Amino acid sequence: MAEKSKPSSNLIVKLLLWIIDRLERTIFLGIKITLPRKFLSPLGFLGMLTFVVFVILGVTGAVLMLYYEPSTANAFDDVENIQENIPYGFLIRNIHYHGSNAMVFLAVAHLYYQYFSGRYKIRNEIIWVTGLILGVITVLEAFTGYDLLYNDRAELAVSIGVSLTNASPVIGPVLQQFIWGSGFSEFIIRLYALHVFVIPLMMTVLMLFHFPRFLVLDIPISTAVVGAILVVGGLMPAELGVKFDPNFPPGITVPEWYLTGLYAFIRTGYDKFFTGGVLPLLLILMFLVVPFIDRGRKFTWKDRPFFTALGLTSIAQILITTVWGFYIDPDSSKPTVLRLFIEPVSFYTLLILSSAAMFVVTYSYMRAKAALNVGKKRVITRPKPITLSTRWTTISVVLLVIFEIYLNIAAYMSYNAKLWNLTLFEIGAAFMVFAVLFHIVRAYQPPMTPITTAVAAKPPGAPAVRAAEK
Amino acid sequence: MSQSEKKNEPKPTASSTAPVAPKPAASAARPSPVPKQPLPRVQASGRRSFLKFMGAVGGILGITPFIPFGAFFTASATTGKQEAQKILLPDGSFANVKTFPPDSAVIFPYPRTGDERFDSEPFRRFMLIRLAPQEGGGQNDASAFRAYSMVCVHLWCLWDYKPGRQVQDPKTGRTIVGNMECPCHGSNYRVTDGVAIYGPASLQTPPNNAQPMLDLSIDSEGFVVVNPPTYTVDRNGIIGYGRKVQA
Ligand code: FES
Repeated sequence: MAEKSKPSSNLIVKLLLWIIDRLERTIFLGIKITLPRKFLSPLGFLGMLTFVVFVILGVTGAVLMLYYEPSTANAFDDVENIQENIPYGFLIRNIHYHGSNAMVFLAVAHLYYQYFSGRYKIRNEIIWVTGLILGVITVLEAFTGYDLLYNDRAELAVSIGVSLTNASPVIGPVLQQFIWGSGFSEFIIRLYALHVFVIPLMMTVLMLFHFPRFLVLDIPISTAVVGAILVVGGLMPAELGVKFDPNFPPGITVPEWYLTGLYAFIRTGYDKFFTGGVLPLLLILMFLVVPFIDRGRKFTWKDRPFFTALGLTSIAQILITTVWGFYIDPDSSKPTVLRLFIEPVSFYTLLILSSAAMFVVTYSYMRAKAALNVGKKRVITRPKPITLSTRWTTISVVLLVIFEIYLNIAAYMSYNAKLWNLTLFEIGAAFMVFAVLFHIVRAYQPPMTPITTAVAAKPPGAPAVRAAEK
Repeated sequence: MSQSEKKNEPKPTASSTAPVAPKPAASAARPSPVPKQPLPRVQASGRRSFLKFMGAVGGILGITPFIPFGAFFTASATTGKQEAQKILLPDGSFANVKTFPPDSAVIFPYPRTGDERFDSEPFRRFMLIRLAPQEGGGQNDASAFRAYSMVCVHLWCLWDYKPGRQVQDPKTGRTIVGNMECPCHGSNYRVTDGVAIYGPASLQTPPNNAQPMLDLSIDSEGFVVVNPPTYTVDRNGIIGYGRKVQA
């Protein structure tokens, strides 16, 4: 897109150029999107991948709205209908579900990569803060979404939410009515309104303040991520659960993985507002203030032992609470409350001790290492790109296309055989094969002849980013 | 606000005095050498900031901030028809003090609309209990009855009445006959006033530990009548949240 090509006689190319020319008048060309010509580490553009998944969620979500009614009587049955009767409903619902998990995961990964590489510096503070807000409301979006299933996990999620609003001091009663309305039929509509309109709109607006002006859209990696979502969906199809019924307790179940940490805190039995509200908020607060404390000129994690240790400690905390939140006493003879109870003393002791240990160990290790390395010049090694000869490129591309044809037929046949999760898997595989194929084609360099050297010498994209990293 | 105005202030004067400076040639023709220019400036800027202030006040008043629009979001499920209603029993008759047996309970929707969509809403579901004789259920007036919201103030399951079951009041040590118990995490409520005595709900801070309650009266024919409630913490309570109980 960035390149100025010589006037083409191709009509379609002409039309595209004409359109792009007119787009100069809009704000869109203020954003510069690079389609890289070679492999770049996806860590650098996790944000863009998150956005790609966001778009997929928007599309699948919009389609799901056609068959879903947010009411206590119909919500669960509608999801069941989508999953079991509506053609391709199974696929779309699964993509939506696994996409939501992928989006939360990518957003968190993006946050940590940017954190460790110190990207919140160089006047990126606004981008950092909007990103943080986006991250939080991404989790809220996922949370409101799976409440809409109105199954036992939704019941658990709702009860976690209710326990937080009810436990809020002073504003508790107002907050409870504000968020949940008054009644089951009202909260499901509220969550629906939030999920399909309010939060996505907020996210879109925030994105305007979050997107940097230079973006990398890597087609093969984006495709591979989508493929991975489908493959995972095929291997672990989303479950329907049991219909939400307030006459019975939710079965022993755990919330989605991004909420189990919060769940662990609440299960310790201490004041829910403090454990489930204030403590998690501390983590967010930490990320919020970091760019205003870390004012040094150093970027890479290696040069910022304090902040690296802090980041690693927070990861350790997240891991401990998340894993613990999954654990439920398997002894089913005990009453539910006792099985769910997390012994607070050991929980908080472990949390505090491990955090302290993690911080001290990583911090002192890094300081020691830095002291050793003083004066040494850092060598950046870059893997040599694998280049295939013309012949092998051709052979592999042809083979991959044949493989894709096979996958297409297989997906078609397994759909007809009602092996829908297999279909999902095969479509995902086809996406991934395409990703490889695309990469091989773009990495192909025609044999050096005097005529082509001029063109080959100018690979667009990456260099600017790389330079900034030093 | 005043700070930003102050910041803005020097600019106009600085930029306006500059072009004024070369003028003296013209003003020199005037007899008085007193620099008149600054005086009206000060007044003008004073007036301007006054006008700005009034503009801000007008803007704020324009959006009528004292009207509690927030009430839109916190409307109660029972907004609308709030009227005294008799309690419909499954057999089609109405609950009557002469026939309703002590130590028993019945579920009823309030306000009853006849529309299944509304009447099945858990937040409109209440339990009418006639206390066991030991708790005063033998009385022939409204004091023999209780009507509580069925939505457990712990995590919104629907509790149930266990007739005849004896529980010990942890405060007084007295044995209570008849018990309200939630199936989800085992919260127990004292049937006489709806305060949680066992289980997770009893650990919640008041008023998050007592079931909302409807006020009842008995009409001339002996029917149990629900008086229109006020859903605030201090009065009938907030459903799914709790009720303040005077000790
Ligand atoms: S919901 Fe009633 S005890 Fe938990």
